[in-house]
Amino acid sequence: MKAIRLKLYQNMVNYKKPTSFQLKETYPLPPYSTVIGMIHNLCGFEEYKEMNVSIQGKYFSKVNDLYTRYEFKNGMKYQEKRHQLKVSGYGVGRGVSTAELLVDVKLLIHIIPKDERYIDYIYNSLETPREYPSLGRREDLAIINEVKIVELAEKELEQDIILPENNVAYIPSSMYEDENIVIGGTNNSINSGTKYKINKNYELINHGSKKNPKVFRKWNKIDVIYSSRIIAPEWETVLVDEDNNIVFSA
Amino acid sequence: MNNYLAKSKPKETIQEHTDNLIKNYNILKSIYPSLEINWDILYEVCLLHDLGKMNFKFQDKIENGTRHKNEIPHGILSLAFIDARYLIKEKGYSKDDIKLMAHSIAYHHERDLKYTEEELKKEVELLKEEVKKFKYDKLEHINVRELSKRFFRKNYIKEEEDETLFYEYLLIKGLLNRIDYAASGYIPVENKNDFLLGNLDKLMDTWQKEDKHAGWNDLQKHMLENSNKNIISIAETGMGKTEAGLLWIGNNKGFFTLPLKTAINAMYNRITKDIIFDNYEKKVGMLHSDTYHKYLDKRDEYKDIDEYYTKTRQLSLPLTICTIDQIFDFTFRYRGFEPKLATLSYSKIVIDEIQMYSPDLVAYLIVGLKYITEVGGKFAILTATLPDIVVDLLKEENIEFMEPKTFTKKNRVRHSLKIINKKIDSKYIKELYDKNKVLVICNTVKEAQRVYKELKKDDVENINLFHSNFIKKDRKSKEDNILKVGDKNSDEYGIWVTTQVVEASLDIDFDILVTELSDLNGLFQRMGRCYRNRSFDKEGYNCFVFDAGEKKNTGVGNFIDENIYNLSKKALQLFDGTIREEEKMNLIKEIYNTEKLKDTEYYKEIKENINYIRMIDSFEKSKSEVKKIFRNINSVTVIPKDVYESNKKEIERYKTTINFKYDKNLSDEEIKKYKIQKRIARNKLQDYTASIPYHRIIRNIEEYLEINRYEKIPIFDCKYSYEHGIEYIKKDKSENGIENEIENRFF
Repeated sequence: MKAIRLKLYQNMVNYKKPTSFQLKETYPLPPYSTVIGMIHNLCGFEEYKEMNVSIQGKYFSKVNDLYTRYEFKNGMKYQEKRHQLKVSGYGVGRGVSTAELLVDVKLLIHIIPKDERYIDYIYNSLETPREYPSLGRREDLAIINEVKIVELAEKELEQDIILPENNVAYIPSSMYEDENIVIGGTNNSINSGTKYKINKNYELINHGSKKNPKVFRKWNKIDVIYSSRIIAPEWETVLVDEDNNIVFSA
Repeated sequence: MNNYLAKSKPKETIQEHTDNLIKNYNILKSIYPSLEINWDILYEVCLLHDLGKMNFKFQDKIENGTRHKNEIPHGILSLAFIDARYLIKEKGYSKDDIKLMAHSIAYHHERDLKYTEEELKKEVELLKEEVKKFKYDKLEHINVRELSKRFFRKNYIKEEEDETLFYEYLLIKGLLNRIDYAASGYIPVENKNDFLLGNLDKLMDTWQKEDKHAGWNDLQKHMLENSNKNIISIAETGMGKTEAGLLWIGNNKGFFTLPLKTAINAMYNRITKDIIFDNYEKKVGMLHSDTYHKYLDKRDEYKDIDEYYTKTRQLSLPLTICTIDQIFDFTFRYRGFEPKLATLSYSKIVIDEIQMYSPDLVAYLIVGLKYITEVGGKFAILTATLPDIVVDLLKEENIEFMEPKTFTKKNRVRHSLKIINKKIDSKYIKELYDKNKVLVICNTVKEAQRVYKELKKDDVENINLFHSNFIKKDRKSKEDNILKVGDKNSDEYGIWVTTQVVEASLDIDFDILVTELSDLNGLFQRMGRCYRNRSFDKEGYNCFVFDAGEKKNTGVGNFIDENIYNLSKKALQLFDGTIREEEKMNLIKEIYNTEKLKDTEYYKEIKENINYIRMIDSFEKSKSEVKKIFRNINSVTVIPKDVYESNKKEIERYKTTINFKYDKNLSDEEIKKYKIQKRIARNKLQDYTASIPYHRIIRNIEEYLEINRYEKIPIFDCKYSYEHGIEYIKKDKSENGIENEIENRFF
């Protein structure tokens, strides 16, 4: 099986949690949908190409920073006395708000398109991107340190693969439940990880009628455990790339 | 070949130490061959557990006393000697077996595991070099390689994740500990019990010489016949419960638990005198917080007191008489609890006087019994009265046992009861006194002191006061005195004003009992100290119970549950005159059943405590934390100021002995001598202390006796006399109200 391996660096970045408003919270790693979105954008794909993604990496720290927030409300008319911006007769509020930012993020991403024929195309689009790559918010530049086509294989491990302490990953819960991956916590709790449901891709579903369509995205969410102290123990059969990196494919 | 050391004092190589373990392994296996464990796994862990000591940092520490930073605990390094691949492929172990071995070895000492993976990797690489210089005939296969994290990653095997594995681990790890400790202490891990039934037969022989018709009674027969089952027997005082318990234990490893140290000392003395008299230091021990002290008292008889003490502490003697906190603290599953439960898995435990335990202890007992039966141990509850509630709770935990059976001497009457609807009254006591033995039991210390003083004022002769607020030395002497008077063959007489410290197990026999009502259970206990084992065939009464009438007795609503007190009071109103043993047991049945007690604080407290223990994660707590919870430490050990002032010189001398620094190069004999001297000094110092409730010390401690940098004993400002014990001084009047209320709680 072939995959494209990406090594990215981002200086300050927010991968927004969909439910956070007052403070724009960030996921600790980019969600699958965000990565898939970046690939599709850089490749100029107009519709979803099925692919699996593995996301791991680390970040140095976290800071909170201010940003300008614009507030819209459907149909809100412009009112002079409310310090609004006038946008074609409608009122838009402007104020400050806070965003969580990860600092010095290093990512190791594997992209495994279902259709192997896309491998080269995706590779080229990342090798010579048509515009600046960004991951997270539009302004969150991503520096591509490596793009490489790698060979993946399910391998029975001869010895433990132990990720260094600060390295984190989204572990699809199936991998964790089958004990392909164990989380080695020194503390006493049963699970030393955080459970997330991470968006991956969506279908458009029409909840209205044909005439009066109400279209919503129905997200395919992946159950993952986010953790550091990741170990793939010997004798387990685990998907790895040619440099013995564990691939947490989802 | 290098000499890798395992121990420094005396110097011993890893091979020698491991040989010692294997020797003890064989002892254990020959005494208990049917133990349900995987003996091969136990053998492997014995063999491998200390190999990690080969590393340079450890050797340097042992050899030259140099301490290195980042020394990885040797238990963790020993893991590198578990060749999982070899053990699975060649020796047929399963992956779970390897996990078991790894956890047993890694935690054979409880240490903080702070090392990083990188450090571990480096040390394992270095070990690969060391092992080339290591030869050991018992080790046929050796291959150093970092053990996979799948078997051990600083985690614990959890009961709720894999129950079978948890129990397997517990036994292996616990037995490894036992074997290791025994090897280090140079004592055998177990001594076989092949004598107890024989000794009991001999005892019967001597009885039969006096009385041809002597024989085991119904209770004792019942216990003997059902010695392979978990049983509950309710038997009145004087039915020979000690013998019954021992018959049930038979030729097995046994623990006999009693609620009070005094009772334990008495039983120990009796057993070593009458039953197990030959070589008893190899057969029977007693275990409570003052064991060493007690052994010291007898030290001329023992060849080696330290060895005897070690054997007792390590639970290696066939029969141990102990308090329940010595064994049931394992219910908290603190880090390092495994050896205790592993030992209990092949032991039989007698629990005597269960009615004496407070709700929290009852809860620990019940959970403890669940664990013990789960690993294969057996229990017998022997008691004078048994609240039904305990039976129901045991059933709720799905513990298997035979239905309780009651044994009484049916038609014998020991007591004639008079209920007086008043508060306890010294005039009344005075009238009852006629050069006979009168026992007065009050609910609180304060009340006892009050009654005593009133009697004193009336110039009554031969009165004595005994309660828990005396310094140890005085307490001991008072205890001896009361035992002397209370001996049924003694013709001494007098009045003893006491509290419930005499309630259980103290072998005393008075002519008349005067008591405050606490609750029925307590009352019947107290009545057991009067006409202990003789029939009452006179006119009139021998037990006088003051139930306070419309008012409340002291202590009620504090440490005495008010609901139970009221129920008891009501039930007693019907009685006047003789009361048979059977009637007593029926009364207890009537009042202490789950139905009636379900809404009381007593019941709630038991339930809450059971839930609390269940909620604690295994290995969450450390042993010292558990000790604190278990002792319910609301009390502080102090030296009363008066005592300190009048014994200053001696106390200072003990202090000097304790802090004496001897030359480390002296011979072992010499060092041993100093150590014993220190212990004796410590015990003597303890003799001047008393333990008082924590809230008391506020505002009443101005100075401390500093023993050394780490230890100090508060000197407590109070009135003290041999006659009255501690009497508190109130310093702040505004708090009087609260003080009074709290004071009533202690007895």
